[in-house]
Amino acid sequence: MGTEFSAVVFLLKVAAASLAGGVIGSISGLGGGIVIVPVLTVFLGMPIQDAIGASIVSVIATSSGAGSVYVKDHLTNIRIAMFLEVGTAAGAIVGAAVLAPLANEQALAIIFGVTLLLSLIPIFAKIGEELPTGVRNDRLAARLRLNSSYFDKRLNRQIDYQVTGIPESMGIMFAAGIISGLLGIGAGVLKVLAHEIAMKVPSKVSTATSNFMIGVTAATAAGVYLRRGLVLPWIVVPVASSVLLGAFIGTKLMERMSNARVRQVFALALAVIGVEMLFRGLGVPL
Amino acid sequence: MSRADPEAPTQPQPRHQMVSIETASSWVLRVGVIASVVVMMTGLVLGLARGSVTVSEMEHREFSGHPSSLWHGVTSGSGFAVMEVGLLILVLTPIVRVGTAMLLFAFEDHDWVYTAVTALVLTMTLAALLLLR
Repeated sequence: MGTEFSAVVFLLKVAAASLAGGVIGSISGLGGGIVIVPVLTVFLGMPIQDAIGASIVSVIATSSGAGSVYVKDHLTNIRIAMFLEVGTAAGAIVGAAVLAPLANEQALAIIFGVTLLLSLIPIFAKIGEELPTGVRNDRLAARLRLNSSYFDKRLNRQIDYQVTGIPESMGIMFAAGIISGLLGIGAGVLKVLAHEIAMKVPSKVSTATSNFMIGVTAATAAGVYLRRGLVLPWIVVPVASSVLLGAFIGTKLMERMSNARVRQVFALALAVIGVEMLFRGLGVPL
Repeated sequence: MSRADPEAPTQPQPRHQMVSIETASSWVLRVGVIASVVVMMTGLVLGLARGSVTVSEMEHREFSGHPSSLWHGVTSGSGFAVMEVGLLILVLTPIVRVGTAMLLFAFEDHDWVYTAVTALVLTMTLAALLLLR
């Protein structure tokens, strides 16, 4: 007796949905997790807890895949990442081990819908600056030697930068960790906010450093999900490999497309899905 | 002075040490992701080919992850156990990256502040994987 035909079809559906999720997550700049959870729940009817378990593991794959490239380009500020990972890892434990077991399916759908909608704001309104000026190291940043420099390929020069607002940033990172642990997403938007608004780090460094931190945050949350029995290998394996492939394809596509308009189109589609999740969680039929 | 200059002083500088952490991190992340995907896909194909899997099993069979049952599963050719190993490699990848950075901060840089910071992060991630539920 072999594997049922329907089981193979099921796997292919999961893989196709995840591939699309990976492409959209990469092109919109939101990352895989925040797209893959709605795709699996809304389009495949999967329970949200299972979708979150699959998502948190695939976030590790995309973050690590992109991370190995960014780090080589010296855009990642390793010291900032290592220091703030204390906050995100602690938050991830609180989110995954303390809060997630308390939340039912409806509550998760509502919190997810709201988070998805808020995450779309930076796509329409520019926050932070490409190259902040007049920033001086604060005391903690000086003591921890968080200032650094990178070579900007587009401007063709070395950019030196200093860093401020460490305590505020640590607070935002703790919150980002909680969201990661609770919803199974990288919460990259919150991390970028901490880097650009609180710490005033140049945006290229902010993106690379956030991505680098997401792997550790997600691995911490995933450890809890593995032990809670919320990781289903038959689902997670096709999801994680397809999201990774999708993210790779998305990155290649972005090299040929002008990005602002495309991102906004995808963001509108995601806004519809976010509203759908929110209403579903509230028990209002659409 | 050019980087290829053989007369260049080889005094350790913080910037150079960071580069070695960057190189090590990049390497750990790449090897970890590639290895986990290869192992996971092997397990998936093996499981489909050798087992009689149903949709219901796919939707409900959890990661068990007990070391002795994993070892028994892998040696008896269970695709499911191989997928579990692949998942463990993936989850361990960022954790190994933190551990590697901790060792480099300690033994290359003698930077005890960052050794302590990375040790704290490592403790939390390992606690999540081994203790919490």
